[in-house]
Amino acid sequence: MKQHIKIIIAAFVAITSFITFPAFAAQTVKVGMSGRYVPFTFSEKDVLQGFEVDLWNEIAKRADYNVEFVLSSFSGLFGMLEAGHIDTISNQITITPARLERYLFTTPYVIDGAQIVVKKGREDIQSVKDLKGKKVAVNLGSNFEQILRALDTKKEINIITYESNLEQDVILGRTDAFIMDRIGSAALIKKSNLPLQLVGQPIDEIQNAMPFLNKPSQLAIRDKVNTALLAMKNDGTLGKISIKWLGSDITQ
Amino acid sequence: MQTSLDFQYIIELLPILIKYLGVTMEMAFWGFFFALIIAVAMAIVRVFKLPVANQLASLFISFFRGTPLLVQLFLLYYGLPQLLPIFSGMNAFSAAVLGLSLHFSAYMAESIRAAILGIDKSQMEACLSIGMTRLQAMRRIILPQASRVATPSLMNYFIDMIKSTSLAFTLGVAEIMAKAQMEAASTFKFFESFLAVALIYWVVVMFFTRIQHLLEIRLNKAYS
Amino acid sequence: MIKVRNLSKSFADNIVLKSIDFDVLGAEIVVIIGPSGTGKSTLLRCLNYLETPDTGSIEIAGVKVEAKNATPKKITHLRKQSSFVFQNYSLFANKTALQNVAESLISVSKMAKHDALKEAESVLRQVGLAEKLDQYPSQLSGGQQQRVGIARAMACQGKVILFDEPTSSLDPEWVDEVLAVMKQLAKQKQTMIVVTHEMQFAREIADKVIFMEGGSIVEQGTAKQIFENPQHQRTKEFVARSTKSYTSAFDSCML
Repeated sequence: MKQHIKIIIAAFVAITSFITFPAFAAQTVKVGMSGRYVPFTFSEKDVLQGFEVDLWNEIAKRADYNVEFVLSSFSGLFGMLEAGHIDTISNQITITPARLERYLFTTPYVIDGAQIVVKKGREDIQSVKDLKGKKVAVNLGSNFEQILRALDTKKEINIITYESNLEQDVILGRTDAFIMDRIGSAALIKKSNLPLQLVGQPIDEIQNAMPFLNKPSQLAIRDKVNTALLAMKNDGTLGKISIKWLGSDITQ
Repeated sequence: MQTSLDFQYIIELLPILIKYLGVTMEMAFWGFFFALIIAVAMAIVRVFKLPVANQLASLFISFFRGTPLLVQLFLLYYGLPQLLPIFSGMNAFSAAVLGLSLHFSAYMAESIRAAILGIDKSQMEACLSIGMTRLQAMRRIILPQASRVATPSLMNYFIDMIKSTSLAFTLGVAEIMAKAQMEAASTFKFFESFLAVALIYWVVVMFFTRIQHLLEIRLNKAYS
Repeated sequence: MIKVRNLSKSFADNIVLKSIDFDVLGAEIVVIIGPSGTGKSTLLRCLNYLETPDTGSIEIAGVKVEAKNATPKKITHLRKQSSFVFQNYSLFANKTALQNVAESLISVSKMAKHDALKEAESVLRQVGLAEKLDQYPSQLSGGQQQRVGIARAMACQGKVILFDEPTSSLDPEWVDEVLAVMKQLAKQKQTMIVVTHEMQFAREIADKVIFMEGGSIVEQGTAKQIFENPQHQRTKEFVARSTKSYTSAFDSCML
């Protein structure tokens, strides 16, 4: 019996030994992203690329960090941040009051709006009030869900949450519309040539930034990232990245 | 909007996905290795009805069989570090391996226990009669015989584990399912991407089913 | 060599052994006879602690275990002084004949594997199975399996071998070869306790015969005393009956 117990203990030590070796150098920043959000963070032919990737490569260069991209489905990212598996999330995270209470944000690097998107040629939906009784898709855990629910005071909209692939269901007619950030959805339509269209004005202006845990060690990283971001805003680098991926400057 | 199946795309995607098959198989192998150790230990504890340990093992088995693997993975990876900060350094791969081992060990312990109890009582008596201790008897006579009985079901658990590693994408492990999802998200070729990943799993599982068959023949040698 | 005192055992409400006392001397061959279900096998199994006695004490080759304070360690120590031959052979199904015999040498006597296999081979040779070393139990006949069982017990180097109806599961064809091995052991002055229904065999080899009935020892003595001049009424009846059935079976064979 003793022998078996020893083996079990050895096994746990082996597994948990990963625990005792976090980042090798203090200067590695782990950036979480979904890798599934065109054109911000996505993988094509096994190459991770997009707005967020370029942005972080530039920040790393300026702040002298090693950047390590950690990919996880969107709904897992905040869990990883909370658990300390990553330092921040670079995935068009919107600043909300609830998140502000819990996290330190960088200055916003994208100014955007929540956008209604429908199948191409559809005329009956132009604004939030047209969504009554309709099926509207939002990403699970995203802030678009909260924005929509806040406007839907009488609970007349059938809000459906998706892990991924919500565009597909709008095209297939399983849902009537989806809500996503304005520029992101525009870029998606342009790049992929999907039969979708943006309708009406953005529902709500939103500011996107990167959240950090409210701890001194994380505050230090946040401040260095802010310095780099401001410099990039001022010298036009940030705008260039935006135009490269989205066709317009959405950073101002 | 595509209307027909893009075979060309599947063929291009396969080598990309296969690169990540290593991560999938590594998870499955380590997961199975640790699960087997934990399961055998728990099965012995349960067979001998060791006080306290037996109750703990029952509780463990009940919990890990009674809750979904996905929930256990989330508990380990996202939940535990909030309680015990030391776990925040545990990477997603280790968490997935740990979760898979714990989950599957609960099932495997029960099938190993059943296999042990299925061995004729006289085999244990024969061991005791020649002066062996119960533990020696377990190790040298009972477990080898039980392993033959348990092999088919353990192999099934292994195959099940290979498939279950696909849940590790939820922790951010870059294995074939995560990769297929990402490629699908950027090209919108969902059917092709997931078909490609399904084909890979299928071939791998067929391979191990064949191994299982050969293993059973070998183990039955003494009983032909 | 062996001292059993006040040994009792019951299963639930059923008293199987009632305060058994007996002694066995070194090199003595003791045969236990009696009707079925009178506790003969249970007594033998208690000696090896395959059944746990309720009261009393067992002493084999100087190792004494008392039922009231038996520990696993003491029990294992006691077991090492004897070895057991089972009615249904109980060979290790996953081991070859050679491995079956070598097992105790390797895992109990801690002999080097190479030496153990060599020793086991010589024991199997003694029971006439030199040709069957690498056969698995399932590939052997009943008689061969039981001879491996005896070889396994011999290899243990216990002071006494306990035989629990070693020929009862055998087809008549195989009985003689097993009895022959036991007779050979008897010649070598191996201490043995044998539970059997083979009266002729008992008569031939026993130094001492114990007659049991209803969980008690009714009478014990030399083979001659018990078979030719039994004192107790129950013994007389049993001996008369079993000798008669033996002769009648013999007669019908001859006719």
